[in-house]
Amino acid sequence: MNSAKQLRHKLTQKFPQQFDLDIGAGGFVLLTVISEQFENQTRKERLHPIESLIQDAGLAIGIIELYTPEEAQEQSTTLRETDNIFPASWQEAVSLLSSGKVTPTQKTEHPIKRVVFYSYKGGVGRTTSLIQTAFQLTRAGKRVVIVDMDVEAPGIQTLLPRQDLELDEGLVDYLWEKQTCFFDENHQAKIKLSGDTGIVYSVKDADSHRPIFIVPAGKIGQRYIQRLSVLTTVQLFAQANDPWHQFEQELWEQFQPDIMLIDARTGLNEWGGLSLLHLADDAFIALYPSKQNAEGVYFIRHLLEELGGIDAKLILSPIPEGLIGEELVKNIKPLLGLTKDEQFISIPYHPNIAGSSKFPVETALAYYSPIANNLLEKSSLAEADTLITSSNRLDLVKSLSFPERDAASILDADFDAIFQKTADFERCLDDAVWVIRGRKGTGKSTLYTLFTQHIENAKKRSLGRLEAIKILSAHGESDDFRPTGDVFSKIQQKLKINQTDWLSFWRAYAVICIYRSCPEFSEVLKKAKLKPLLSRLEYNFKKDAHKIWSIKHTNKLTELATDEKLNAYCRDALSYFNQSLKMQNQKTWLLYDDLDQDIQENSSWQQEALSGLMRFIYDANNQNLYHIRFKVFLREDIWNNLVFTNKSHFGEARTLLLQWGKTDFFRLAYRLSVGGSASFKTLANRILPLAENELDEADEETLRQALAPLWGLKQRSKNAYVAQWVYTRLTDASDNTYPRSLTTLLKKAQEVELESKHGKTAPTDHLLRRNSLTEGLVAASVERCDAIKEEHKEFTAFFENINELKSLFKQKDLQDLWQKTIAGKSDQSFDGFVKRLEQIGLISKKKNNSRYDYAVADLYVYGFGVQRIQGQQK
Amino acid sequence: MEDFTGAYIQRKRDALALLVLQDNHSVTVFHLGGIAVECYLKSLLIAYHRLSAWKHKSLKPNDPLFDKPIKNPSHDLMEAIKNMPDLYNIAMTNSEFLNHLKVIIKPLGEDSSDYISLRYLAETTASTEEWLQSFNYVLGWLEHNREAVL
Repeated sequence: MNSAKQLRHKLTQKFPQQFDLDIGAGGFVLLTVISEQFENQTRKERLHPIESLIQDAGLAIGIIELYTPEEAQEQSTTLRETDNIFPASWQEAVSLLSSGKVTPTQKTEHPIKRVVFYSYKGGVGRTTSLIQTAFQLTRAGKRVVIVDMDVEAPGIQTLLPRQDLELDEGLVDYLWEKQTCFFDENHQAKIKLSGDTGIVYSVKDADSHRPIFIVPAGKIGQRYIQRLSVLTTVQLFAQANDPWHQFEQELWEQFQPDIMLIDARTGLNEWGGLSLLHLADDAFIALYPSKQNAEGVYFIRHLLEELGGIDAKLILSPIPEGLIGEELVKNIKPLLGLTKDEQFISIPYHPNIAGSSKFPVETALAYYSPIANNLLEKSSLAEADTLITSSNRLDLVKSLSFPERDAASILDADFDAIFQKTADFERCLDDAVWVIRGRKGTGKSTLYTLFTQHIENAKKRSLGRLEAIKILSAHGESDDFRPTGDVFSKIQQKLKINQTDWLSFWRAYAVICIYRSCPEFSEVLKKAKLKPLLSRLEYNFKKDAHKIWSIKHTNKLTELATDEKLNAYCRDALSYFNQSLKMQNQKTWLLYDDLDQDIQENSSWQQEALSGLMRFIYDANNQNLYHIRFKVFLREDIWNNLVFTNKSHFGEARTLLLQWGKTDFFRLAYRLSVGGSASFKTLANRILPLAENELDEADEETLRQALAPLWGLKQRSKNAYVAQWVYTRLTDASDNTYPRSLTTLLKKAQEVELESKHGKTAPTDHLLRRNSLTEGLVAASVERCDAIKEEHKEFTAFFENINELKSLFKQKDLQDLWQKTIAGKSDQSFDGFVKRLEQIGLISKKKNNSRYDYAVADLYVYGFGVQRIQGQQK
Repeated sequence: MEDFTGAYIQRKRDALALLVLQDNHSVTVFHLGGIAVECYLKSLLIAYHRLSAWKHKSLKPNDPLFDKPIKNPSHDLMEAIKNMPDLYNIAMTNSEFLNHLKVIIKPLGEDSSDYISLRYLAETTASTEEWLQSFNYVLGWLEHNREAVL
């Protein structure tokens, strides 16, 4: 709250409607109070409590007149404060702001929503943004009127010209006539809005075949300049029957638009001020991301918000391509006074726009959709409001269901409703991707199981890309016939004794898997030279005869690995098999999962075993075995610590980091909420119909809107989205989110919501309130902390004492805690320990000039009981 | 209607004449000086709204008080300024003027009487030097902005 507002608030409490306050330069307070409270008091006694109010607000005691009603009458002093003040100029607006006043909500007789497009400086694509938005709103079914109030440099009439006849008069002429001409029964107004010569014309959108109405400024010429110069702007808007209000009323009666898009004058002049300060129900401010724009825009946004509670949205335009653009945006962001979660709309430089003389520019429409979506969101929220009010909110909350689902049910019975493919899914299908890495909980095993056990479901989401591919589990839970933890230990010993490379082992193991799953492989093995191999496989590994892995199998597998001749047969067998697959135009994928469990972690041979597998894959590729492909699902930190020859060949193209991006996260939230409740699904579909096939394509804005009935769209009094808030709070220090955290959060939020009061204060446009979500966040954090403790048992002692740290801390604090807890228990260095904590997303390094060295990720603060440092966002 | 211009000139002369006398005439100086400013403001107010009598309606076009009755602001100097919105807007941008005006209104400080009630005080030791600076500034500033608002 600014100091003037604070003082006004205190005075209103103490002297309701008994004072007149203004504040001049240097915080000079001009105050007149007329109150019976001053009866029988000396000047000093009257002044004392008021002085402290002024000082508390950080203002200067100026001219303070304190009267009893009788004294005021003697002095002829009266109060002049009025409640309904609308600023008609920047000067008035600033004066209202500096004296702590706010403008009341304007009530109009028509329901047209006025949206002002403003720019502090010109040439930033303000009018283009407005026109592109007009077309998008029209296509969304809205009746749109564009009003050109850039009267000193009108452009709309050139960009969207009148087709039926030559432009003669416009808004300026209409207002001039209404303000300056005399009317009686013999002299009626000549300038009309509609009719053959009406100033309003329409252009048709070729796509939707719907009209966009245009109110041009007027035909530029001597008459236009004369009429414009005699208009007294203040009196165009001051009273209910003033010319502007007559214009709006007539517009409503004759055209019934839903939305009026006003193109405002740039800078701090009269017309721009009037449009923004007097008319805007909503405002967009376009600016080029440069410092010379930032100061003015910051001031105007602040003014609009303080005076009328209008959250003006920023459009950065046009942003140059590449690094230059990124740098400009990064540099200007801090100067605009945006809150952490606040978004701006970015319009990249687009040559079609720059060179276009015809609107809309279809190829660039998508850039402008956030503007239209922002406006449409508000109308869909109003719709949610009606629907939730009319149905039973409590029943809807009850109907939600967020059961803990294991991977098996997600992939089987609940697949259609719940399975959410992430943006990475498509890349997962790429032959060239050999390693799929990710944190625990990011869905590696879910994908492995989907491909190995639910191939039909996998094909549903793969758009035909799995048609000629046979997928085998080369190692993992999908096949019980496999060596596990202690067996691998034994294998390792044997390999060591025989000085055999792990590569040979993985080759032999792959041959066994293929033999057991692909009957056609047996045909390949019938070649005379491969007979010794075939006989061993038939005798020891026949699928029907051998279902449980035993010592015999370990011995035979080791033999195939250590016996050079047999291993060479394995190599040849794979080559022949590849050839046969090639002939049939087929491919076989070998999938490896659970290696983090079965190959002893931190053992001296873990590196050798895993790097052997990687080298086997690389070797197969070098042998041109392009029809046998591999996918290894591996925990991210294990991959990072893995060192092997040719790791450099496993770059971006060969490995895929599985991550839940923001839109994946929103899609899952939507699936979870509509998937568990038929009534909520009905409600959500009435607000924003989102078909199954559209969900995976829906963009961030659409998803936020679709989730609005669940948890609201924006946080109260902030220009920040709830969806974004939830996402940020469930993200760890390496920008990872976990699907399970979302289920935990929603489940807990629902429980809290059902226990909360459902009185009048309950929101009518969404189901889960912020308090409920906050408690859900705590539950999700506890769940994640438990998971991380389970995953990293070597840090148990550290985790037990981590609450001695604060959410922001110095390196020294961490080092002390490390010393105290786990320093001596392994040969890991402190640097290694810190690196590990960063890798698992628990902590992140602060910037160089920060007071603290590290921060605990939001996601883990509650669960570990870490004390949050004041100032860090909750 | 009262002759505010004439009264302003004469009261200013009275106050300045008392200032140069050997004896302590401070109370009267503050009192008459305040009245001089009051007279100047009233003469300005009448000219601003083209009034021929108090309570007549303002004839100043495009002014927020246009067509509204203008009352005699009595001894309230700020009220007189507020009744001239153009002048008031300029005044509010200048903290130096506001602070000097405060000295004219309450020459003996925040807790004491204003320049009118001061006449019942026998005498004061307060300095007239600082007051004179404020007096000259306020009248000079009003004169300087007169043209802009009339």
